[in-house]
Amino acid sequence: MNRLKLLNLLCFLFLLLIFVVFQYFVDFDVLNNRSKPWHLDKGDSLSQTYLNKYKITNQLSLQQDLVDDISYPLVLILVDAWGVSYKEYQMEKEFDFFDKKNKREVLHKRLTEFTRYAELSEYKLESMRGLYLFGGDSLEYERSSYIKDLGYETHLFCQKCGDDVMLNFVDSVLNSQDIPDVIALTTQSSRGGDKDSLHNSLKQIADLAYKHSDITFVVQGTHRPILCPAKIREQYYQHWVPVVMVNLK
Amino acid sequence: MKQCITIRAIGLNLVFLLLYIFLGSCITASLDDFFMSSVLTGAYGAEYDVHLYFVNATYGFFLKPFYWLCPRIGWYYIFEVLEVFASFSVFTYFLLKKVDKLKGLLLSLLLLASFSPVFYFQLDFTKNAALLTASGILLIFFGEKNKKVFIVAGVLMLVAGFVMRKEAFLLGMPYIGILLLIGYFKEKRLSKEPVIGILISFVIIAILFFFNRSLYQNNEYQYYAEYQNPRAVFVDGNYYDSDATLDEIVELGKHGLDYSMLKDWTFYDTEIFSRDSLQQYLNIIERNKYDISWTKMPFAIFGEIALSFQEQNVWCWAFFAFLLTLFAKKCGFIVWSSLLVVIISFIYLLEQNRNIIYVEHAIWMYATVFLIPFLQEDSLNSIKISISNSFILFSFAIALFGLGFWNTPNYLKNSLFKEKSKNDALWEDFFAYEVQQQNEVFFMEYHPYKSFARRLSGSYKALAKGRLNKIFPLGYWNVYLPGMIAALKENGIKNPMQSLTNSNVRVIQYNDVDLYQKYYRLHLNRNIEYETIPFTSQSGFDMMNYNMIRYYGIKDEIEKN
Repeated sequence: MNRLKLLNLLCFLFLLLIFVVFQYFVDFDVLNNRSKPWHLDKGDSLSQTYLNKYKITNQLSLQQDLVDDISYPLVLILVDAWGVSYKEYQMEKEFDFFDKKNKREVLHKRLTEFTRYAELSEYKLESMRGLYLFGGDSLEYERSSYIKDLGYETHLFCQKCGDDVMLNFVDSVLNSQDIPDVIALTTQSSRGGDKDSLHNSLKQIADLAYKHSDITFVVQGTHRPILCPAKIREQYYQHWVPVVMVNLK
Repeated sequence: MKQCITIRAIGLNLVFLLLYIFLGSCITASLDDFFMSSVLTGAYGAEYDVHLYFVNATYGFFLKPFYWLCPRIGWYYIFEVLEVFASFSVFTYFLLKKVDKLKGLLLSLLLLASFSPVFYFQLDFTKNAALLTASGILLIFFGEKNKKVFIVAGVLMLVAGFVMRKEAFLLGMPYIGILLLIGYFKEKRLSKEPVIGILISFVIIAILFFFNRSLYQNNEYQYYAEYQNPRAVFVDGNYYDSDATLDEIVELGKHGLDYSMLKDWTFYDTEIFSRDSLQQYLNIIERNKYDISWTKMPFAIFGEIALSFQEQNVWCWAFFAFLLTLFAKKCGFIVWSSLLVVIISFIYLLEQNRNIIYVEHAIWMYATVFLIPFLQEDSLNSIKISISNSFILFSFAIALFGLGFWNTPNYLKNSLFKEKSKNDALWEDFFAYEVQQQNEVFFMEYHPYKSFARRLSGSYKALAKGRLNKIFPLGYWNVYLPGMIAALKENGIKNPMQSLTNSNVRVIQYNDVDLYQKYYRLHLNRNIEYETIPFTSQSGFDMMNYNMIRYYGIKDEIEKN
């Protein structure tokens, strides 16, 4: 038997042995999990920089998680299609729009990627007076009915109103004598995944928060941009959204 | 001597055929086969129909004379069994021809014992296509020179492989390439006979392919065929993130119910789930495809191959490969190339995220059969076969067969090996009910429809014409079959999902009733009520609860009272 042949035989036997041993270590369920195939899943865990830099909250609704830090009146803003970018400097830039004083930056895990889910999980009211604002049609997405179910006694829909209009409205409410416990606003100028309009909205929100430095603002993304070209969507973590809290007590 | 080899090959295979006939339940493992044979005999509609869709219509034309002679016999099934028998006989013939008497006999025994349980007991057209293709390749490339009978038989089997299922036929194509290359490098030119054989086969295959395609164009079968691909994306496709797809659908302002129903095989609504209206979902799915992680892929392939070693037939490949690497001259290449083809096939399956066991069986069968012609007599001379050696190998083969039989699902074994299930009893009650209620029409959801078909598929018997003319699926691959549409029309139904409230319609379902209540509210703006119709004393069988439901609109109720 020549050397080459021996080598061939050894290779073959070695491979066979590995296969046989390996089958006891392969988790069949992992490999054949239809809903989340292991080899097609690039992973959705945050980078180490993110983990070190920001507070991380999991899946629970934010209000539940941070109940001790929140004081009323409270402005809750869901920024549509604001996701956590794979580019860390972009996230930093977006957080930096907000004033540094009494601020907390959080990355929050949210497994479902539609706006209604974010609203249902974040806008819950518990025996408080709430005002809900939205710059769009009340019938769309059956919004008026589920917002009512959440317990908001007043809601205001303003057809085709941009974020600036709605934020002005928040401003005037905050300037008034009778401020509700919770003011909830869902923005939608950035819905299509356009970065510039997102930054625009964030800046306006930051300005408003700066102006009313005695009122706590919780500003968070609904989900990563999804109604946009796939290329843009792929720049964001699938199941993470940024949250910034300013003017904490 | 050659006569003797043929007789021995057939004799040995008869043993395994008889084992199957006595131990098996003699039904096809794949329900697709059952439903294709029901299309063939006109169980929907009233005509013999060759539009099998997955299998080339040629098979239907081939079987026609047999059904004409004896229409009550399940020729579709019988010929599938014969295909397995013929293919394994070819494999055994080549093994016996290449390897000496006792050794050859033992190796054949090993091959048959490890592979036949899977291919006989779990009979289905996909695996058959692979078997026929493999034996065609053997006959064309390794048949005796200057004997036309080998080439002719090889061409016929190769074509038959294509006819049974073209995808499984394609899995064998890399081996044709490798064999042509080997032939070329050995003789510095392409030998004439195999090339001619392959070319003739490909011409015939091309003709059959276009002929079959023409049967689904510009006629009533066009919509039926066009519906298949999108349907498969929803119910079989696993290459996209379904949760993200649903989220995007909801975010777009559509109701998620329709998509969930599509995924759950409930889609026989000619308007809401028409071919055109599926396109909007297909576009969203396209945006939510998984990306392959190429760093994880090698491990996934490795893992898949390692897992294959839990199947007894892969051990036959390993044994043949071991013999080749140990004894044969210059055959290391053969073993590694067979493994390479396996890897390529697995990459394809993993990319689709559809690792189906029967395709994996076909892949390993190809790899094993490819090794057979290289097991040369003279190179194996150095092995001495003693009585104890052969006894060990014989016991090993028996053990593999036993293991294969043990792993066979119970419903595919002879009734001696299984208890009569409550499931069977339930369908007996249903058959009795069906006979009494002549004017009622039954819609079945996916689960009960399959369970029902399983009960109905009898060995050797064909379904009578029009047998299923009152029983329809609410979503299966055979929806929009012209025969089914005609049968629905006969019962005054145009759109099944929107006819649930017809007074003669009964729904046999597994899902909650509120699924259809929601559906009717959403799409038809109607509130519907229901009552459960008791038709059996059986309940809670096999962990599933099927109920027979009659739906009626609120207005209908007023009329009823």
